[in-house]
Parts: sequence; C-alpha cells; structure tokens
Amino acid sequence: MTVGSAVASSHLPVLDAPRQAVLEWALLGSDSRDPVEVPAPLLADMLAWCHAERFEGLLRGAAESGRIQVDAPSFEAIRAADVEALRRTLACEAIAAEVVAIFSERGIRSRLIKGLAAAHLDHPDPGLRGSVDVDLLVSRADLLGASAVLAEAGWPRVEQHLPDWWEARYGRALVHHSPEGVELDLHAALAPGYFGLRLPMARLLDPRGDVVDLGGVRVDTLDRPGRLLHSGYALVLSRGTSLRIARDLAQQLQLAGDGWTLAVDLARSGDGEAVLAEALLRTSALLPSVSSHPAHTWASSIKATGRAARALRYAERAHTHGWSADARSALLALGPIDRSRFVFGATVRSKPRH
Amino acid sequence: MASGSSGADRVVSRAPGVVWRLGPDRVLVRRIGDRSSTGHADLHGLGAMLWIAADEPRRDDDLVDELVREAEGADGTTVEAALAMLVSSGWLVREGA
Repeated sequence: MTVGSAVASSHLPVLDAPRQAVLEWALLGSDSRDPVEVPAPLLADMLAWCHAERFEGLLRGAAESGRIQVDAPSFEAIRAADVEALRRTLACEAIAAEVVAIFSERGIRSRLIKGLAAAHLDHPDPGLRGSVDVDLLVSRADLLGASAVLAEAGWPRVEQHLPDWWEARYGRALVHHSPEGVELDLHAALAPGYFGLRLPMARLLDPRGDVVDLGGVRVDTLDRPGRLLHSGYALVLSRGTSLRIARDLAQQLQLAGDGWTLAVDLARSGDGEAVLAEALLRTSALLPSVSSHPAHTWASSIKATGRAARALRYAERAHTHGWSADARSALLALGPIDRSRFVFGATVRSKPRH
Repeated sequence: MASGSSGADRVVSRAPGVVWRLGPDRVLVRRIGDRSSTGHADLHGLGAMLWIAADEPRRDDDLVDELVREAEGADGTTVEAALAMLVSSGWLVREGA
C-alpha cells in the first residue's frame, strides 16, 4: 500500500476560498494576503464551520487583518463568536488545571494533550486554538486509579460499556464529565487500534516533556515530537478529517526544526511511520506551505507494509464500521492469549454501577 | 504620580489560580476550581490594561503611573479605582500595604 494514494484523497475536504484563508491565517509560510470576501448571507455557515473546527480565533484574526472581508455587523458577530469560544476554552483550561492539581496531590502523573497543549505551545497565540473538552494522558497502570479519583471528586465516568480490567489492559480512553458538563477524556493510548497499542508509551510519558503554567499549576505535556506524532495519529486514525488537527500538525512541524525526525523515530518505534507519513501528506494537501518542508519529501517515500498496512485499512473502515474496525486493528498488535482476552472482554458488558 | 503614599512599598501581581485569555476587546479571566458566578469575569478597558500590565509583580505606583501615561483619558484616580476593584474582586493581589 502506498501512503498518499487512495487513503489521503478520500478524506480531504474541498475548501472554498474563505475557509482556506481561515485555515491558513497566521501560519508561517502561508503568504497569500489577497482579501477574501464573506458576504453577510454566508456568515452563519462560516461561523458554524469555525465553531465545529474551533477556528473562531483564526476567523477573528483573519477578519481583523483584512484577509477576510465582511461588513460591520458581520465583523461584530465574528468578534462575539470568538469571545464565546474563548469563554468555553477557558472553562476547559480551568478544569484541566484543577484535575492536574488533584492528580498531583494523589501522586498521579498526567500529561495535557491535544488542543489545550497545542494552544499554548504550538500556536502564536493560545487564543487561536479553541477547545471544547480536556484530554489528559496517564500511564496505563494509573488509568483506573485516576478515573476513581475523578469519580470521588464528583466527576462521573460516562459511556462505560466495557469491563474495567479490559479498559485497563486495552482501552484507549475513559470519559468523564466535570460538574458543569465539560468532557474530560482520560487517555491511556494516543490512538485507537493497532497503532495505539504499539506506541511505546514509556517514551511519551518521559518526564522531559514540555510544561505549561496554567494559573500557577505546573502542567506537563508531551514534547514537540510527541505532540507532532500525536497530531499525525489523530489526523489519520480518528473519525473524519479534523482540520484543526492538520493546523496543529503544521504549526508543530514549522516549529520543530530538525526535530521532526524525532517524531519519525517515535512513529517507527510503534510501526507507525506510514501513519505519520499519511498525516503529513494530508496536511500538505490542505496547507500547501507544508509541502516545501523536508518532512513532505520523507512522507512521499514511505510505503506501508505488513501489519501497518492492514491496520491502516482498518482505520479507513472505521469511518463507516466504527468500533469493530478499531477492534480488528487492535488484534493485530496482540499475541494469542491477549487476543482471546480482548475478544472475551469486548463481548461482555461491564456490571452496572450503583 | 499615583495617589497613596504607600504605593512605592506595595506590590501588585496577578492572583494565583487564575487562567486567562486575551479577547478582541477584553481579557477573560477564570479562577481554577471556582464554579460560582464570581469565578469568572470579562475585564474591559482599564481593568484589561491593568491585568496585562501586571504580567509580573509590579510596584503599585509604577503600575498606576504606566496606565496613566498609556490609557487615553485616564488619571491617577480612575486607575486607582480600577485597580482597587480588581483587587477587591480577587483578580489582582496587592501586598505590602
């Protein structure tokens, strides 16, 4: 299977000029400055798209710079939408800091991942990257303990379908809700299926990761190669094409310097080079400035073989077949005994909790 | 010059446990773990400028003098009042008074 052929082309949305301008706004190397008009009747659609992609900050920036041209009422609507997005993101950030502090008190190490970490470490202004939930990574050994701590603190676990022992051994993430209803995903793996189970988590949980200060709370994150890798995995292995993840990846790539090869090393250690290559090619297709990066040349040379190729096909199927495709992918990473355990656990429901 | 004779001895800083974002015409602030109606606020005008200027601990009168210089139409009294409001609502702390 050649990366960048059928897989990439099937998932790339075709963006009109205003959406492309928003996606690229303030990205290093994206030089287009031609004004793009958004007529007032189309603004509602644009705002809805930006909300879905957490791009309200980019839209506001593009409008304030004149890259996006709108009438005065539309301009005010864009600013108001951004304020609401910032409010939502700030609520998530406060929750992230609160939970990390609780975990620290209980001796549980966690890593802030995805949007909130990227906002502070990879984007020129954290206001350009919105979030509607919180994602924390913990070691698999701490997963159930961390979940119990959250439940005790009044953050119930939701969407509980599988036995705890199964989640602890094979699960990707447990979902909790904060008292105000914000989703908090407690991850033990960075991706579903084969690639999530193969990734060497000890390296990702290395204490030498980056740190952000959230209101005085020291919050650990992955280092940039780890974040770049995670964005790549999320772009290819999660459902649908998330443009914000492509934008995150482009930011991380631009800031990584030669360090992008460390992300390749990390991917290789989890048989995921083809995933990262595919993500880079998709990102290049969406953001042409990325195509001049050496990583694009590397990505063009990568071919998926063996189990990685099969797991990528399952990832494709997961778009339509959902969890069953992820499960078949996961089986590729497991030995005979674990395969039996995996299937057994996946076919019995967890006991109801009172 | 800021009003208040002890301004040189007092230090103003952002309160701990507050996360924030710079918005289009305001600073949004939120206290970690505070779910009450006073746990979040939008700071406009002088309030936003004071928050930004207090990015590191500042002598009270230096902070006020800076805002008087930079904020259009602001004098020591209005800046002091805005500062007092931020302190009383817990977004900034003033120590050494």
